[in-house]
Amino acid sequence: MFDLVIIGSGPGGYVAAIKASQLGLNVAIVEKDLHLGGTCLNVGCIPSKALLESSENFVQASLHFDEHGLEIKNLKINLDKMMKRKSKIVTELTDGIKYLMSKNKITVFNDFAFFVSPTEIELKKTKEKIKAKNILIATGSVPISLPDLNFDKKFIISSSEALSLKTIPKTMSIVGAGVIGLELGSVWSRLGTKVTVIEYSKNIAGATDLQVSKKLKQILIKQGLNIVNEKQVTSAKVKSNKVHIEIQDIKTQKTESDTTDILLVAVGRKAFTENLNLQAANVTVDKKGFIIVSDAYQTNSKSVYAIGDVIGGAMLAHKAEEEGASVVETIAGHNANLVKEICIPSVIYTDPEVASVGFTEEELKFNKVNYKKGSFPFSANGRAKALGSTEGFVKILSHKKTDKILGVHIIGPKASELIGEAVICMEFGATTAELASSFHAHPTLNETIKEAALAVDNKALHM
Amino acid sequence: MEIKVPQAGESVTEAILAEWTKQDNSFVEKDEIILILETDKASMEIVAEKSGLLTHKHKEGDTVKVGAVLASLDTSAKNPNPGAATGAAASGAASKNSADSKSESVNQEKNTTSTNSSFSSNVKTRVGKIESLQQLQNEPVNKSSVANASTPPKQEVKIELPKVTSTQDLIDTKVPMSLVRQTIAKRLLESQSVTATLSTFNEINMKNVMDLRKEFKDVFEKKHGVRLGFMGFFIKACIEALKRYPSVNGSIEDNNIIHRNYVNMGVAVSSDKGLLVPVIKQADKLSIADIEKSIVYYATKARNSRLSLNDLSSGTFTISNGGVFGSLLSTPILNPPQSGILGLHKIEDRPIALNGEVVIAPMMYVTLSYDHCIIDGKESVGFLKTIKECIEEPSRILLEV
Repeated sequence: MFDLVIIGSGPGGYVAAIKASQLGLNVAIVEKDLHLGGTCLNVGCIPSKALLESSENFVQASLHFDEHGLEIKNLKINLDKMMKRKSKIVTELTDGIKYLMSKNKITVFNDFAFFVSPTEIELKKTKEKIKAKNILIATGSVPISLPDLNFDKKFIISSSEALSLKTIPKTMSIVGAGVIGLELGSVWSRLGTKVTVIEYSKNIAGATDLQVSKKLKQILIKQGLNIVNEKQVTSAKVKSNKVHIEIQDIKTQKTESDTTDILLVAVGRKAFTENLNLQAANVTVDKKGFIIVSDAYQTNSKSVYAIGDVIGGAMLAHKAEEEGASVVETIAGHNANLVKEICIPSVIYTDPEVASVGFTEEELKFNKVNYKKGSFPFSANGRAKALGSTEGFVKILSHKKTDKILGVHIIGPKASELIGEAVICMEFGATTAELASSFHAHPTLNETIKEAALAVDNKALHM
Repeated sequence: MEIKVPQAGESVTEAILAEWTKQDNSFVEKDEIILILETDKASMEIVAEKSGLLTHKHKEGDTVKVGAVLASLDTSAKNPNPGAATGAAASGAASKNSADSKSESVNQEKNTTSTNSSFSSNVKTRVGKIESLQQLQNEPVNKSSVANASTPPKQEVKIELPKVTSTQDLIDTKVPMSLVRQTIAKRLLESQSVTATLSTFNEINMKNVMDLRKEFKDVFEKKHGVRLGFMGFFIKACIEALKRYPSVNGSIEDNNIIHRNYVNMGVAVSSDKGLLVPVIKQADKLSIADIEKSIVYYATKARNSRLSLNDLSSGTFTISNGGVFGSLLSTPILNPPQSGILGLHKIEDRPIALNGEVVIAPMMYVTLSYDHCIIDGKESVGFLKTIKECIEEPSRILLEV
């Protein structure tokens, strides 16, 4: 009998397992795939970042090294090598998790688990039944497929396949201008593919602050991505190694035909609960299939908890990690860390990167919050100039009355690293004045955050 | 009318049409924001200069050169839906829709998290967005963590025009101008048109002359029957300066310059009827005591309205003392055909640098307004400097140095 059995070894699951072990629980983790790490490590964050880095290096070498006085002859892409590097990074990290599991004396079952009761699971391959005082569902999510655009995993593909293409396609159409569509679109566009991103809504990058999303669209178009908004792909048929697609204009209802080598469907992800046999555990899901949990991540059954993508909200590894750590503290009877939704940062790894935390300006307007805002462009930052990456800005929103930071939105170089400071500010309820009065090393990109904080009260120094 | 891409700074030659805030074919009111342009440096809102029907000429995302036509505005069109800015309503609705969908999802999450009462414990480790917002909205202001308010945010300052509510009728009363006032007005305007008046300034440390006056004022009054004022010293200093710079005492007549070997000193005095300038004739021949006596004589006459035309005419230079009214600095207007007028001002204690140390001294600013047609800058400055030196060291008057 385990104190805790965790289903799924993604960032939510494996972090929860380590935390549980640290807190003295007897813990097991079940992973259906060969490697630990879940979507993030195997077919998500990590491999996509590896390819983004490789492709960005290619862009730098082919387009920008010249500016630095560096001349390269016969620059070529070796896709096979690039993919091997990616795989090596993934393997190193998944092996790292395997090591962490054994180090923390966590029992790992490489099998598919399903519920027998609220305190018992069965393993599919070995038919072994495992009892546990508590069970944590951390099964994550899978890409949504559209009814008329079924994945054949060769021509009509999801993000997972888009990370392992054997050749560089001449053309690629991507359905959905969300984080995945824009990142993978960037990868292949940089490597030479003519990429068209087709987005149903008016703007790209989902719920990103509108000012940022518009800037990003401008920049990506300039980089060669063809982005079309307010259109949808209504059908896709594979004929003689080409995907024939029908694209409908939402406003005019007019339809046009197009062909593409690859159709990447990146319209979002859904909770992965298939064959989990949730009924046996008396666990309920909502209309969209996400598991319903309490404010302490407890399901309908008091012995069953759920965290991460499978409960909905922001589908991000770090959200799952925080939730996993918090829920284990609750299970172990400790005062659990509060997981604040507004403090969850989100990043898009385009070039420049986009990173946000807190409320967007649109959300504040909609909720009639009196706010102040300040922004500062990277073009006025010395480090950004030296990097040769001056596009974008930092925007900070704060409460009009208390000056507490409500949202920070960055589009610019290394935004993913810069957002950390903003997250800490929000976690500890800092004001822009407090942020602005803190030291920022010079010359760094972080100085833009200080300046944006100063700009909230019109006191930016370098503008 | 056409709406064009404005010049937005020297180095900016093109911009990106970031957003149409007004739909194509919608009616826009004057001063409404039609679109937002973005350049490398900033984004700017383009506002309708007039009301009219809007026709887009570019679409969002287009790169547009400075001067390019962005849209046309049919100003003859009438607002089809007066009272409600249609464009604003439309765009408002659009943005609301997008926000709606967002808040829906937020609400939905809330439903799935906290409204289900079948959960067995009340432990709470998860804080939703809306919940955080409510907390943030209700938080008190912590003075020490908020920036001091020396520069409040620009956009929030909205000043209403103060309303004056008066039940009385507003009356403009017309009274005839007195002859003296008419003459004054005529002379002042004439002065402005026939001279090229310029002013030069200096400042005088009054300490020595004040000490001198303090020391001798009782014995002076006893002997001469008049009080020893500063005017006597200034007139004496002027006479000394006029001797050194005779053109200040001169005047222009046709194409000739008239030089004089005498000084008729006008001294501006105020009276009920306005400013009057009696003239002390041949002041250069008088002692300080006689000058003081003359001033008292004319001032009394002025107060009693007894000044004759002769008393007011043939001045060759004038001293005007605005200091008696508290003036710190002024530029007197010439009284043609005179070419110079000295303005005296109030004496006030000011910190000055004296021998490398900051000391407090009774200081006075002085002005020489002069007709640049006859007097050069060098002379005017030298004139004023002579006065400064004579007042700061009164013995110079005696020694004529």
